[in-house]
Amino acid sequence: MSSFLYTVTSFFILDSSKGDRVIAKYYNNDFDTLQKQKSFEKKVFDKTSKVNFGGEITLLDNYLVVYKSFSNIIIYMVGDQNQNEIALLYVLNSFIDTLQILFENSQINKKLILDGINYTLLTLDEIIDGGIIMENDSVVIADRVGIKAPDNDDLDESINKAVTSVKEQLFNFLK
Amino acid sequence: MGRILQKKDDDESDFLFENLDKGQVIQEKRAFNESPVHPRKCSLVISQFLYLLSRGDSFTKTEATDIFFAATKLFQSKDIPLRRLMYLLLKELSTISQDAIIVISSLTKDMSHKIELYRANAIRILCKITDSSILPQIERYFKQSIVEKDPHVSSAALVSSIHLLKVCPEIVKRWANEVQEAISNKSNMVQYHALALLHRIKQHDRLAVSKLVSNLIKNSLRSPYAQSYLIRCCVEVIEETNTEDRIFREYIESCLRSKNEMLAYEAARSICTFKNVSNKEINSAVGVLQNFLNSTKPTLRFAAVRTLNKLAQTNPTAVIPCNLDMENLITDTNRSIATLAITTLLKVGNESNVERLIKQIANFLGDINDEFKIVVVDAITSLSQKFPKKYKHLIIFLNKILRDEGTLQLKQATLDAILTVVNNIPESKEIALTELCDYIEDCDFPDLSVQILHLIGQEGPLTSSPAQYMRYIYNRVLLDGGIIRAAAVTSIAKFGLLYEPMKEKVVILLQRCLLDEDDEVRDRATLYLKLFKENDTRYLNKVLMDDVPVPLNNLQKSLEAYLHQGDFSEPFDIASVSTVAETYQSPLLGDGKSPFSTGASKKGDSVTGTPKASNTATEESSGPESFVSKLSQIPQFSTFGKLLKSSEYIELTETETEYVVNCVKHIYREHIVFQFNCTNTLNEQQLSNVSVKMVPSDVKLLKYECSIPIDVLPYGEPQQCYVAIRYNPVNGYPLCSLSNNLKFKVKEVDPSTGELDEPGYDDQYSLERMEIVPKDFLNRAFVGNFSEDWKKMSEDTQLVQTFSLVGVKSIDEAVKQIIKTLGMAPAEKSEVVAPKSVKHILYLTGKSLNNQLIYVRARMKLDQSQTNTDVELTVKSDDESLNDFVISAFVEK
Repeated sequence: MSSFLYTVTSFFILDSSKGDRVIAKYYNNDFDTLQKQKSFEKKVFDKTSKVNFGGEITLLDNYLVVYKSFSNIIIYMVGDQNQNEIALLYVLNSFIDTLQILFENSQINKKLILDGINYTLLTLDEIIDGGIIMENDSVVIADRVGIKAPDNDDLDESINKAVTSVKEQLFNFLK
Repeated sequence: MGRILQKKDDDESDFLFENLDKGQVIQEKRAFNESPVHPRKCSLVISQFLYLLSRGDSFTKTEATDIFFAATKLFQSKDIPLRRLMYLLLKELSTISQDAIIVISSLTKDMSHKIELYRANAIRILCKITDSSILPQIERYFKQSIVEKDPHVSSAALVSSIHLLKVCPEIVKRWANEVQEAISNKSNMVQYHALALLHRIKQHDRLAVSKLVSNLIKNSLRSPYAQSYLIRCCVEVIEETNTEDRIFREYIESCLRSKNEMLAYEAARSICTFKNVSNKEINSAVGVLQNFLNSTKPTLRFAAVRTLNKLAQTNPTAVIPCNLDMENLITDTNRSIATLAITTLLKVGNESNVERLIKQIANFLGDINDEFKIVVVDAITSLSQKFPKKYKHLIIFLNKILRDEGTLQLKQATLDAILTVVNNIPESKEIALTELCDYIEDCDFPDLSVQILHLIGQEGPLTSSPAQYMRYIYNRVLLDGGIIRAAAVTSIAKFGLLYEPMKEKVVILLQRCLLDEDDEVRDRATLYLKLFKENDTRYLNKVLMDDVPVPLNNLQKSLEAYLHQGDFSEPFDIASVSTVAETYQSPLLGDGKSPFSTGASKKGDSVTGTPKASNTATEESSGPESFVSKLSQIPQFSTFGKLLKSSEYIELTETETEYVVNCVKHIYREHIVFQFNCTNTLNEQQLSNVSVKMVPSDVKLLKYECSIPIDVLPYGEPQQCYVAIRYNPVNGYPLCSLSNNLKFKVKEVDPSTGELDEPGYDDQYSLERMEIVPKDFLNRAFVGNFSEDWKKMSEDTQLVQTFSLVGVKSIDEAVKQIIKTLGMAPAEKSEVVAPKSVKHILYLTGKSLNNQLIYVRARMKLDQSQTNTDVELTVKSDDESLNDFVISAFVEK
């Protein structure tokens, strides 16, 4: 009964050529070792990567698996077998939609996910907390992830530089 | 938003992070210590750590602690994106690192920061590192945050509290008022989280839950998540309180009309689980699902068909309105959906529409691959049990699959299915045979042809017009390869035996085969012809109709051993061949699948009894028949006489333990030799002087004779040690149980150098107990005609005993168990049980070690509870004490 709340049991992105893990996050202890996780991922991949399998959803070993394929990766959202399939799909969609916003509608692929790993992982963190859906509105999520702020770093540096150069000039002037 | 950590635009394969090395990144954490902080540089390092964690790299406690503490330096940075990443890193490491509570003060400081993002993330980390001793001190931050207007902070606080409920439930329960307030937050997600937390806080108070739920129903929540959650709560209330109040059901029904698919679906699937559901309710729920069936989104179709599939089990009529929609899904590109659609349709199928359904499935056969066709074939097979009258359509359908292009695996599955139908529905025999006759005209798989010829020979003569098959069979002799011709010759001979009017023709056909170029074909023809001419029906019966009663591998080994020993004064006796295959496998039982499973295609099955652990030793010890020569070479046993019987393997350890031991009992006239096959699975040990100490439960029955230990038992090389005991057959067989202990001397071995650590020490290892049971003294026997022999045996000496097999829930299981317990041979194919039958009669024949024939008839019936099987066992032999002995296998005397 309570399982509706814990919507997601695990999330992973696999390379679609061989099924190697790109990134993964497990929200409960069903798979408590890396080895168990990877063998589960391999099973999921073997079943879902077949061209003739048809897409988006399947049931495997008591887990609901919802997924979406991109040019060289597949993104998976896994839930308990009694989970509401559509709720799980919504989470997956939120994740993908948010990435689309953050990456300004670039084609989602492995390079994008990895080069923007900070965005990828923060998005996940803002959507799911310990398996519970935190937020589902991709605009809100994108906002929480990609806080726009002045580039303090560069600003500080340039001020410092300016100050230094002024000091130097002043010093030279005084000399 | 251009601050993706973007570097060079290299070619596709060169990803920034892929070859990241943990050690290197750990070095780079020094960037956190620089002053002033370089947000860009630090963000990159944090991202690298986060990537390593999500890739699956593990960090030691020390490493994690170091990184954690280094990262806390970043609290001084004002760069918001960097802070966001820092929070995530601290959260991820907080469970691995030591002393994470050190950051509590920094985090509580952030709790009063004006930036919401700081507050929201700080609280998510706080909930991970507090415990019941710290929580009271920071409790106010949680309460404050829960009632915050900002949804980010409030949701973070509520979800964190849900996690905390597992750690310190008592404290979290004190926040109920704040949580109640949060339910009226404008944000949908906050509403959902608040409801979930509040429900969890009150979970153990039924009345409170039911009050909460009915209040919220009136409150009209907006969030689809909250509403879905509330539906679950309603279901819980209905199930737990059996309330008459309609409000809960009405609420769920009202959700069916929601535009949100998740919510409407949640309502629909909840209604489908109701025990007593009204037609109106279920019809509207099914209506929602029906819409989903036609959705363009695979997940919606999947969800709907999966729910209908479940519903079909409890309420098939409710599903029927969706039949048409589901038929369209049979060709769905998503195979999970198509499979669910088919199995659902077959579940709700009835006598009237099943024909159409089969046609429908037949139409799309061309579009699906072989693997999926096997699923269809299985589903069709199960239909044959439900609608036996439709056998004609089923057979034609299966035959179509058989004829279409396909792999051997698919064809074998299909042929198996046809055989299952033929076995279950006798009326289907003729049509199946006709179809199969057609099929073998152009069958590309010799294996299948052989099986089909066997079937035609077996069943054809018993049909109304046997003559029609002869042409097809004889065509094989003219047109096919050696193995098929041989099978055809046998098939022809069966017609001669079973259908008297054709005998003369059969003899003519057999004569034509005498000049065949293939030895096997000629040999068979010659043998059958001779027997026909001598009119030796009894022997013909034996040769043609009886299945080989032992695993073929064992038979081969026995024959080889017989030839090898060079003493042909006594004829070869098939009863001496071991049936070592632990689980008795009748050629007709074979998992209920192919009646030919002992044939070439599944040869592997017949040796399944060989223990896994001694696989390496399979060559030497795969069948007791090879023991004969081996045992006779051991001088201590040379005086024991002829080996009368060897048992199957008995595992005395688990197969994955340090030492793996199994045992074979060899029975002699006055002795029993226990052969222990021992394997040492520890490569750092060498064992020596290995023996087994056996203690019988009844010392009077047997006397210790001798023991032969293993001198040296190195790692991975199985060897045997023996214990021999003596018994006096005059006093009956020594039925008792024995406790066993493996005794040995251990010497540690350095696996790299192979050096032994002298002198070693004595040790022992306890093994499972073992029983000496009646089966050990009974052999299988084969008689031509059981029922005739049974009638001839006097009833005066028979022994009848009734008992119950407790926990045996099916006749099939009972049959297997009785066969296994007695170790006798089933007669008249009585080991074949019709599916779902509740009673059955099993005939067994065996013989004692001094070759007295024993006949057993077991009548069995499932008891009323369907959980036990009642058995009436009748034993007939010429020796009353032998009858007693057989019964004692089931009943303690």
